[in-house]
Amino acid sequence: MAELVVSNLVKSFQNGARAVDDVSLDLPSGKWLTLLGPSGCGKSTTLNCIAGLETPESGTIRLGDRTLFDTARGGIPPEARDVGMVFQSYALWPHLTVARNIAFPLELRGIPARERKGRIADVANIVELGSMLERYPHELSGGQQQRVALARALVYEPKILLLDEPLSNLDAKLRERARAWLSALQRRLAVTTVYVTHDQTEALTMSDEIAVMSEGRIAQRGTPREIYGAPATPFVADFIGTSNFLNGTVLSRDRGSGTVRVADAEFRFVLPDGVGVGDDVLIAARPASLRVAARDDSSTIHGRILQRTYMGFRYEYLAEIAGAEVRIDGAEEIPDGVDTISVSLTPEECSLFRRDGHESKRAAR
Amino acid sequence: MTDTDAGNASQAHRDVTRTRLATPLTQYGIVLLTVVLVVSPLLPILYQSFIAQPLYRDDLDFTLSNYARLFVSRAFYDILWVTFLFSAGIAVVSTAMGALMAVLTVRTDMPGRGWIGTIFTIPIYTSSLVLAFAWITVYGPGGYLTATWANVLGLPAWDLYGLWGMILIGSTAYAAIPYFYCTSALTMADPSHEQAAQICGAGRMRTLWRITLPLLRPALSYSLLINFVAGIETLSIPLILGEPRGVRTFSTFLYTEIGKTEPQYGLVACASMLVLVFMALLIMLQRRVLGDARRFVTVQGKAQAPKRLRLGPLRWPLATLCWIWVTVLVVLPLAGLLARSAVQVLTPYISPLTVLTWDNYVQIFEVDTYARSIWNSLLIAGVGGFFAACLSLGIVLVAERSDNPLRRPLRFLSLFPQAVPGVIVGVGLLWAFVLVPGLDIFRSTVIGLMIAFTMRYIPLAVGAIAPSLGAIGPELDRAARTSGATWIGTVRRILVPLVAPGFLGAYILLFLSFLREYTSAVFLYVPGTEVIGTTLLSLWVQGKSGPVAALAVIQIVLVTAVVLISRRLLGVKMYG
Ligand SMILES: Nc1ncnc2c1ncn2[C@@H]1O[C@H](COP(=O)(O)OP(=O)(O)OP(=O)(O)O)[C@@H](O)[C@H]1O
Ligand SMILES: [Mg+2]
Repeated sequence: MAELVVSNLVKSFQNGARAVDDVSLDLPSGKWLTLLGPSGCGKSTTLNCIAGLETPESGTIRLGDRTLFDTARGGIPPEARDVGMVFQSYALWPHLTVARNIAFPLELRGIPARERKGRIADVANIVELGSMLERYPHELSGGQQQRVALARALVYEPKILLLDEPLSNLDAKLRERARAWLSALQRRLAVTTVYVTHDQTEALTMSDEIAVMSEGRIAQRGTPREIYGAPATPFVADFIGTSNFLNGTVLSRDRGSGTVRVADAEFRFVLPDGVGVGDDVLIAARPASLRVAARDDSSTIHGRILQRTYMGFRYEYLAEIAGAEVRIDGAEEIPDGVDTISVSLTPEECSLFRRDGHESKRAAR
Repeated sequence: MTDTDAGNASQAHRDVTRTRLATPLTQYGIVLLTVVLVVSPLLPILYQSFIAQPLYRDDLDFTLSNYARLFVSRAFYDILWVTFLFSAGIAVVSTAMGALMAVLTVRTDMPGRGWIGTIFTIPIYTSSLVLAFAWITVYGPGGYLTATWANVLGLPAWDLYGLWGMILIGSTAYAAIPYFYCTSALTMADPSHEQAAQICGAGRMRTLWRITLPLLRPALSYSLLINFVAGIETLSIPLILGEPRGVRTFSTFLYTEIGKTEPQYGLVACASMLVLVFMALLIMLQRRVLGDARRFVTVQGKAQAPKRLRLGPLRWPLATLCWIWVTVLVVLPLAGLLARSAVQVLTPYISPLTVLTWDNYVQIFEVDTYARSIWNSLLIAGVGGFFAACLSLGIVLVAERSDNPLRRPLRFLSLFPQAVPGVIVGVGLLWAFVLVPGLDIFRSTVIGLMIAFTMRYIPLAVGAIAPSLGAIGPELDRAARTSGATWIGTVRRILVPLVAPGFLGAYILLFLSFLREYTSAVFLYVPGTEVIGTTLLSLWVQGKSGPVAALAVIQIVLVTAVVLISRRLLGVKMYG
């Protein structure tokens, strides 16, 4: 196992767009880092640069005491990097049996047949595939194929394990099981792991560290708790599962906190540095922090109902509050004909950002 | 790390450094081979076009006078004009025929459409040389049906020789190409367009005209271009049907000029250069118009049964017309050829049964040169075709599945021979073999012919392999690379086994093409390296129409056998 250090990685494609734009990462030996971000943000490209499947323009990639790439000297080819990789499509070789698929990297490393056999059996046990070694890939279910791919990547004890959306081809139930199984396995083997996904649940439940990516850059880097609890930008807040954004204005500030007006109500918020009186702010509210108010008082926000949806045991309202559209859950039905809604807000569960054109536009859809 | 781990690591490291050289060596080897193959016929021609004397002489003067002379030569403009008329005629007529037949057989419920379509495409499996002989046997001035028509029935006869006959035979020979492209476009198109049109109240014919034909536009423009190029290239049809009437195209001009005792080498080279430039422009235009992807148009459809247009009362009349069409154009000439091969003379005045003979076949097998041409053809097709298929596979692998910096130029280069007519390949290689010391060995053995044929058909094989390689997900090789395999190792152990069916298909395609190829061979063969095509031509020149028919039938039988075997046993489908 080895520590991974990536610094100032840049990669653009012929069409000129920078797929990876100055990305730096460091990952201690044995830890799990997740690259999280929307489609096209450069996660796979970053991973492929680490694996040696893409050649960056500049930056350095170091694994343990070996430099895999640096701008001046170029990179060493993927076959010499000693990484294990699992692809989204699993990429099992269809003309080889499960055993031959797993044996392939061992054969390349000149490991004698006897030892090969033992190691294949071991790894097959670890991924619970013992009885399927003689099957061909197309004779396996999606979940089994995914485990073969994992076994193939682990069997030669690579210095690092790279996983590119390995669970996204599984159905929802299986994915949940595989999630638990995979992270338990990684903890047990203590293999340094970089995991790529666009699913925030996977990222939050499995990782030691998360790097949220946006347009080729790292938007925020931290533990799942930090990312979820204190998103650094509206983009991160949005992506990590906060669904509502409200507009507000800072009325007063003393030290770390201040009063913020949201529509016709006022709340006390913890204010980040650099937010002053009179600033417009964007409030990212988790689903649970916005509720249909039981009583109308000075701390309820009033909005206009745009649409109501009956969800079986609850109601969901789409409302307009101070120029932003929000979704609000309620247990009780607001009678037809009433087109205003009273909403309560829990400031402790919200994150607050200063509005500056660029970020707020994207977040406050 | 344990001791064995360290040992393995250093072993792996040694392997890596050893194989690290193997990968670039292989890749650049393939690139170099392709460059040599593609430019070796072209350079001597370029060179010759700028020197006054034949290029093998010692006293050479560089000059532009060749070009100057060519541009003021009246005869050259005549040749260009005839070549243009002939090629444009073939392109238009064959595309119209192919498209019409494709619509009728794929999109309508015409009875017998399967058989009609199959018979319609037979000419692409024979060579245009054989088709020309067959037509002359039946419709030529002394042909069986011409004689019946004119002398027995007393009706005015036609003249097959000349431009119109050339266009008709050429179109019959090449109509299968538009047919295949249109068939595949029609099979892949969504039949609901047509149903929608019919629901809107469009009549059947109107639907065909307004909805179905526009779907074919890309296939049509591609076919027009390919067959235009084919018209410029073809040697046999203008040679056999045009020369007797003084109708001379570029190919026949080259052929006759080189055949003279004192050929004007400079003129030949200049004319070739101009045609090359023109062809290259045409092909570039085609790329521009149709985009990159269409180069690899594969002739295969989705497994979707198209809803057929009901022809109603037109069913039987149309079917009858189509039967007459394929019978007149394909069945009768080939039947005539078969009959001619088995009799001493074929005329309406003598019952063929009284002159039945094996003599034509006996001659072919008893005369050494004739028999040898069959073995040579088989050898070139079997061995040369295999090497050509291997090289094509290598080209596709480097061009599509490597990070070699030259992969784009390589791809372009491998498709360039499309722009080089077979006669030019022949002349160019002949000069290259004469010019470069030590290359005589190629000239005196079949190896030279293998080289020429390989150069000619690389684009075809590349086009056949590329789609089947494309169907193999790139993650399969990426997975092998991260597992520790070099590029070579990945190719050998993952890609080659997976692409084997595509390779086999390309090999069979090359085998068939090599078996029929002769245009690039007419200048290159020497006594001992004859192939079927060159023997057919020389037999024809000697007026031995019986043995010509026999050898042509032998070629057809060989081709048919290969097609059937590969279809039945290996499940490989030619041309879709
Ligand atoms: N071979 C390529 N040529 C050109 N552009 C590319 C290529 N591969 C990726 N890109 C571009 O680079 C950007 C990043 O791509 P990348 O595959 O890394 O995204 P991703 O974050 O993995 O997305 P996804 O979740 O959809 O897999 C995208 O905008 C993509 O269009
Ligand atoms: Mg990706």
